[in-house]
Amino acid sequence: MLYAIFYKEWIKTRWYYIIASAVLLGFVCYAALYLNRVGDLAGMKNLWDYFLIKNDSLISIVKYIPLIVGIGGAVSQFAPEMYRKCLKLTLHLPCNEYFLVGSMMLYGCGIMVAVSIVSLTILFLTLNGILPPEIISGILQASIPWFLAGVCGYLLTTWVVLQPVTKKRILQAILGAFVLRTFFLTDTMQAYTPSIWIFAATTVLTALLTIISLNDFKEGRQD
Amino acid sequence: MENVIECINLTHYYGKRLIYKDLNFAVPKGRILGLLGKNGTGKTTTINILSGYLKQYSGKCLIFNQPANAIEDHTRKRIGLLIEGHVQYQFMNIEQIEKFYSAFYPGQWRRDAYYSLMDKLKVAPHQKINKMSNGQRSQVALGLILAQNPELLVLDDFSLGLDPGYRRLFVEYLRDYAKSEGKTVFLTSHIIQDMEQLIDDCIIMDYGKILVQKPVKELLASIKKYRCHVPELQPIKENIPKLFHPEKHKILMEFYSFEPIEEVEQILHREQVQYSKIWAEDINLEDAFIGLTGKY
Repeated sequence: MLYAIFYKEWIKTRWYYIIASAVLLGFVCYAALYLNRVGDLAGMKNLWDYFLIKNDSLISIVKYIPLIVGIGGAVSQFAPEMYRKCLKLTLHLPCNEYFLVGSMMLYGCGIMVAVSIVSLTILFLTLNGILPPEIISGILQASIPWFLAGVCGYLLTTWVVLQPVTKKRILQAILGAFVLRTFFLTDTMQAYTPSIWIFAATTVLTALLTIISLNDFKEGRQD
Repeated sequence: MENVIECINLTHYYGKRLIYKDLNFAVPKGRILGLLGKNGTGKTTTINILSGYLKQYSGKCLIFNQPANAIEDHTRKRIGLLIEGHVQYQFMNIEQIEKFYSAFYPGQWRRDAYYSLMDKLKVAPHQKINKMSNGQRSQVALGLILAQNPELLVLDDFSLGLDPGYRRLFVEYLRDYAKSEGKTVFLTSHIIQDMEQLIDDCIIMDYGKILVQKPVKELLASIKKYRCHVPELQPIKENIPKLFHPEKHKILMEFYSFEPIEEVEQILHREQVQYSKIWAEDINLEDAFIGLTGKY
């Protein structure tokens, strides 16, 4: 049954996720090549100095891309279900409703996590050898909250899109925006390092919020 | 007879607006029951409560003796649902959607039933559902229900958006299937002519209440349309007991009633309605519906 849900979600969203993932990976590759190019032009020593003095990861071009991909992923997955009333069909399937919607979210989160891991791996492999491990670690740690924001953005958008009551939907969107804002308060390298686990925990917990929207949908709440 | 659906004192409000109060009805096993009502009388509300997508304000709604909003997974396998407008996953084609649904109904899925209906559609197997006409989409939705092979079919406004040919095809296919397999069907439709060919029993709803619940044959045998001649200047008298929705066109007055002609004449005398020459006419289900609920 999990396979069947993944099959349906893949047919529905495959073009979005293929294109969005390609765009995200394209930005990541561009950022990695940009660092290489700056190193070539300014000299690696100067690049190292820049990282140490300015504490800037120099890959902020990627910053909001995972978030945009995550929000778009949730919209492409769940907006058609709500707009065309297909969610009723899904919830009528002979499985637990939370399992059904959870499986759909697992599919989206799985793609977001996979693309994030590939992105971080590309960054690591491209920078490995030209920068010392401490600086690579700093760059990766600076970017992890952005990728977590992508997953969190996906989950919060799911929570918002599945909410059938417009007023609640607006309130949830505002709350979601505040939560996501915390992932982007600074670009300083390693500023977020002690908080990465808090961000990870926040991301996992936001998945539970969807239960609120699903219960409202099941009870037929509307404006 | 065992009831597959049972609604007891069902009451629902949207905000402060009462949809209906203390609605009671049951659908016995093996019967096809049509819920008829004007727009806004609560047909879709009832379907939503039955499907578990709306929590009623009060009362009980049971399907296979389980509360409609807490139906167990194995019981849900026994219920086929058609959502208003033949909603389906439009991004899939007819092969993909069959493959998707079949995974949820192992042991009961009838692939052949689905494909035998799809063969009549004359669409390419890889044509997406969103590129199909409403009629073709309705056949896909019906094919999936036939393949699921449920004991109870709940169909919300199955005729919406269908041309007469597809409506007839849908009705004939559904009736043959339900009668040959002893299925129970609960349905709504705007097009009452279709219902007459399909349903065994009907519930006619007006705003907030049930007007009539009985077998269609019994209803049509008992309700008549009466016509009589009246003086042209005589004002029409409304709210005459047991005579429904009187209307007057120049010297012709018409109304509906369950009473025999002798009783109707006595009522007219009691109400001091002057008339001459009265006669009764047999009517079809659509006329009975109009007679009971009025045109407006």
